[in-house]
Amino acid sequence: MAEAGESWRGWLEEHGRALVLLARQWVPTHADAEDVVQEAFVRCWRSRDRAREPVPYLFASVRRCALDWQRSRQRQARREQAAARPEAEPLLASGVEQDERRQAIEAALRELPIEQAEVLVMRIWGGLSVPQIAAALEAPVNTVASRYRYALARLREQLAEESIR
Amino acid sequence: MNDEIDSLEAELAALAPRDLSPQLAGRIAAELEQEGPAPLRRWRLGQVLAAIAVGAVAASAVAAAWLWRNDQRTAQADSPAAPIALPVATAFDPALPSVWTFRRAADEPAGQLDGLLDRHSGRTRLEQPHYVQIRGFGASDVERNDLLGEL
Repeated sequence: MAEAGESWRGWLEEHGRALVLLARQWVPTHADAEDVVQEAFVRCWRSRDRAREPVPYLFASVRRCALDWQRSRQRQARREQAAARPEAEPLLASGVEQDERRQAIEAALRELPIEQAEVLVMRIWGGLSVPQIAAALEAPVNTVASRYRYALARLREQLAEESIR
Repeated sequence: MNDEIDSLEAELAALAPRDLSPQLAGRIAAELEQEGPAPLRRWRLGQVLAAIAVGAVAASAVAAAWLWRNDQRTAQADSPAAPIALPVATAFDPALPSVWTFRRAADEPAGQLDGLLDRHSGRTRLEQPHYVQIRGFGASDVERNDLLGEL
């Protein structure tokens, strides 16, 4: 990961929170998401010289690990328990005055199809460009751009409905 | 994307994801230190070992080919079917200055021996001009008899 320097700590500082947020799209708790990030991060760091684009490679690795985690039958029970209380752990950080808005955004984010949510997380909080997301997802750029537009439109609709209530 | 969506993007970006737990960095550090930078080195070491293995295989192939070729040559040389190039017998060629030739010429009259010597010295002179012609006997039997008479 030449562009991130040789310090993995700097790399973790820069991308860690977005990576955990991405993992949370499949994993119910923050702690589990950190486990996923840890596994993906270590793997990526060790093989960083082989990656043509390190940052998309990192996000792709976290996504893959999170999917593996989700598929794992050993964690089935924990996932179901956590799914029973999805609002227990917030996804985003905010000040007290923004807490209601944050909850509304998180609720809207949870309602998004996973294909749209992952693109949104990588774009907004991961800071990846659309081509980088396309590389991470191994999907066409136009598809990624469409998913991003749909995600924003859907969020906007849900937040508008929320504000009407 | 219109302005409304842009403002939504800005609002979303203003909400940072949750902070990482302080333990995460420590766990990653422990895991990385457990094997150190070995994975990368291991990968490179793997490449080096692969290169060495390929080199060893190539060297073995070359050595095997060389040995096989040598064996073929030896087999050809040892083979009874292989034609043996026998040296041409030149010892009894009167045209050459051999011991046999001179012994025969010594039994002939002296003129013939001188002629033989002249012939061979002339040949030597043509082939190696820095050699000097030497006469061993007189030009005729008369001269030889005169010489023997003096002795």
